[in-house]
Amino acid sequence: MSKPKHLLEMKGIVKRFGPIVALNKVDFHVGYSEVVGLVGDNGAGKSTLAKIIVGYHQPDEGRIFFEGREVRFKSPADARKLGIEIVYQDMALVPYMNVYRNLFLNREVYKKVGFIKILDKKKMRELTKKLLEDIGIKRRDPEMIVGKMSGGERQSIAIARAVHFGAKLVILDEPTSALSIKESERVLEYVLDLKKKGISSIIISHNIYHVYSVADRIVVLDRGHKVLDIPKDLATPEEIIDVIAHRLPPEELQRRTRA
Amino acid sequence: MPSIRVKMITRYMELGVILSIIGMAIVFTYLNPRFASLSALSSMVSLAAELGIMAIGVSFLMIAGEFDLSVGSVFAASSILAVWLLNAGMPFIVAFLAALGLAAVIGLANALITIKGKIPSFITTLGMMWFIRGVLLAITKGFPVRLEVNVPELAALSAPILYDLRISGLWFLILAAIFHFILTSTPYGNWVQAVGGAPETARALGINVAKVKTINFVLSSVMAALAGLIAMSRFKVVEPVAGMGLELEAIASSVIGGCSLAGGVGTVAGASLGAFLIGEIRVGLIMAGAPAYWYIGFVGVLLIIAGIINLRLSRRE
Amino acid sequence: MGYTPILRKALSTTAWAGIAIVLLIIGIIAGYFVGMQAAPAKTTTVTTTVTTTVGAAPQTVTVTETVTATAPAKKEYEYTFYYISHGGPADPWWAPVIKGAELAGELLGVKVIYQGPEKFSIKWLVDALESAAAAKPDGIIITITDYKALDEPLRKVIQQGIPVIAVNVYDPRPPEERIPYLSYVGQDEYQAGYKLAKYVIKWFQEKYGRLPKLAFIGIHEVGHVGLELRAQGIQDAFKEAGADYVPEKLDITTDTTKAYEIMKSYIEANPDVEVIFTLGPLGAHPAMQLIQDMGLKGKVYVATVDVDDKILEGIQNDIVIAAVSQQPFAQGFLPVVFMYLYVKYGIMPPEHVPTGPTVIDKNLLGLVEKQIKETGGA
Repeated sequence: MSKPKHLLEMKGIVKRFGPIVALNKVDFHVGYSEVVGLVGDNGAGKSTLAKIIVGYHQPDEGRIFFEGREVRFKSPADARKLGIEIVYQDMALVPYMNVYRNLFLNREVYKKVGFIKILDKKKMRELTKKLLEDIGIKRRDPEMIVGKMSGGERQSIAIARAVHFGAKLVILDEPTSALSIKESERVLEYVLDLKKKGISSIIISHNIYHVYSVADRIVVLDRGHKVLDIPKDLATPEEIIDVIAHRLPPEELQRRTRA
Repeated sequence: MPSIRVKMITRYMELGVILSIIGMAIVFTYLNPRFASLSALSSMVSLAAELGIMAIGVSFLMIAGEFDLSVGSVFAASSILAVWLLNAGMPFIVAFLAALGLAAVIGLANALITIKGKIPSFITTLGMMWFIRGVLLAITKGFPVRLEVNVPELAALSAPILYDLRISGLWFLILAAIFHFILTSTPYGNWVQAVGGAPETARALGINVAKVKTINFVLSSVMAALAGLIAMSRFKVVEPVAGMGLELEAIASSVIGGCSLAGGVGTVAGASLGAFLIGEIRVGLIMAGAPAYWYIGFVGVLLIIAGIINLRLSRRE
Repeated sequence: MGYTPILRKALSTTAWAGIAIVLLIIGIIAGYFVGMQAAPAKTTTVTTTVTTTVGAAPQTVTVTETVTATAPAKKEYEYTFYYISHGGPADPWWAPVIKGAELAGELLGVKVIYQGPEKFSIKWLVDALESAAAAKPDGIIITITDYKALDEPLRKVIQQGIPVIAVNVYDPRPPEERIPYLSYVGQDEYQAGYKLAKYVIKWFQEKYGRLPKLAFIGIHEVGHVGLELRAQGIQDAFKEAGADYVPEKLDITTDTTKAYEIMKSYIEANPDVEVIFTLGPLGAHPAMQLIQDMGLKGKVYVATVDVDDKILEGIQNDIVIAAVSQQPFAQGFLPVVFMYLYVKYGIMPPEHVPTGPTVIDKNLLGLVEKQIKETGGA
């Protein structure tokens, strides 16, 4: 069996919320080991598209293919099973719970005694310790309450969780929005690490420079339409910003790149 | 770096209530040395049993981020149903299961209205509380419902076994242990905490939030029915106003035991200890010879203090 | 980390638990002293303020009195008795009971601990009994408000060797099935209702030469065995007299505002009503107020069990035909004395010590007024 062209392919996606058309016939794809930057102004439909990919929303029209097979996710659990993970900016982890409970949330390691499932806390703690070590967090206490950790640490843990459970596609929703400069750099390094490990990712951000530093290709959405889909090397961050701000028609940019 | 002390309290939320229990025990023993006896202790466990069993269900639901104010009414409704069935000559097991079944249906209704109707459970269950109470008062015309027949099986619910310890006290301890275990050591317990702490995150991670909440609504209702049946087996009579105010005492127990009103935080052990503390105060005040009216005032002070501690802890981010 | 954050952190956690405990300790000690009530002195001035709200008109009755008591020399009490009743502060009838029990305790050098609920509750009564039993007192005096609910716990208490005296409400079963308490101090509830109704029927026959056209019974604690028996007595007297109706029982609740409205609606729906039977001040007060407000004086009368100064005023003003007194002060005082005699000297009290019923009409007012002035109730 030959490998399909794209890891993820979406065709003609339409999503409406009442009278509002959030996405209008959007085509979108992600290749293997590719980092795609998804940008656009507020209300452009970035988050809606991401939530459709992970099964949080269901599209009204259009088809989705993952690894060449058509899929239809009823819930995030379906998408997770196939290896699609999302890391939300503020809701990746449950703040009141500790690290190991968060890492294994809904993927608990357990032993079965009769019909009762008992958490294997020892094993989860060990795995967590190792994982914290891998991502370079100094305090390697698996019982630490997540709410007390820094934003960067939380993002790192959420990404590490995705990798640990064999994700093939990781979606990062505003991964750097609440982080210090140093922490942002750290998180962006993880994104590049993902690529090295052969994991594809979609990075959604307001900060074009952050996207630009890691993405291979940039997709711009504008009020539910895809207006630009361009390899990073063919445009400067400033040009992308101009497109988003409607100072530069996307056709004009494309003409420039062809020239 | 957080200090060791902060860590201790956030990790072992029951510490505050345990300290209070010990502190109160010292004071009460000073006031009446008989307080420090097995007999008094077993009396406290028995007294706390009904409230405690209720608090287990209520705290489980509170941790999942929802309220149940209808438990006091369910307490009365299910036991009145059981008395009617027993008086009609039904076997004990039928009456027992029917009472729990009625509670389960009420819990399910609470869940469906709250989740499908997207209204706060505080409103749903407040309405349910008054609705059930109204129906009970209308049907019974305000008269208490008496058990007319001799049902030996009722002993299984509340017969005294040792000193002043009743079987109901034992049920309370066993149920507290089971549900504490479920919350802390099973995948389901993990989901309950996640659903209450960050419902969107839980949903994004593939947890069926509606299902978890529904199960907990039913659980809270069924536990209230069990508490009602235990009370019925002790008194052989159910007033249509029985259990009034118990819903608030159950919520108070949970908060004193470290549960957050916002959900996501708390343990069953804490809530059970909270109920025990309330029982301890009740027994202690009577043994010390203080007028019983002080009791509710004490619970009020405790609740406010527990609330302050809760707030401090939830600001830890 | 600076000094201030450390301080704040420490305050925010363990210190709060500390403050909690300290506050509770203060509360308990305060409660303990209040519970003991003024330390025994040669002369004690007791001021009782009874506030009753009837309809829209609140009335405050303040009774100040001087009780001279010989204070016991030692502070240590010889015995501790618990007096557990179903009557809370919402029902002013219990004020003289509490006073009587406490005076007896003071005179005998016995610690009497009175426990009553905020509102009527069988669960509360049983829980209070079990808590009191855990304190292993020398005696327990209790109202048998529900013999079924109290049966098992009371038998256990008696088995543990704690003597029990029933007061105010008794176990109505035959002696061999009855809870084995030492004695019952209080009125025969059935007789109280029966005698009251008999008197009312006689009064109507003397005045009008017929029975009242219609009467009803306002019951304020439905399910309370004693009140049900009073109502039964009233109903039986009417049956015996050959009335073509049996006075209906109306649940008027312990809330006087609600009682007022409930009785008002009944009278509006049944304009033939000539007598309202009430089973205590909680029913009598709103009934009297109602007759005044609706201008029914001389047309509708109240007949009630229990007496207080307001009810006496009603008798004086011809709103109340008669009231049955069960002399609550004696119900507080006597069981403590009997318990003391039993515990100290082994003197067995009589099986039933009646404190009533006495029908009080205009002729007996003088005597009863003295009782009320001295004890706060009759």
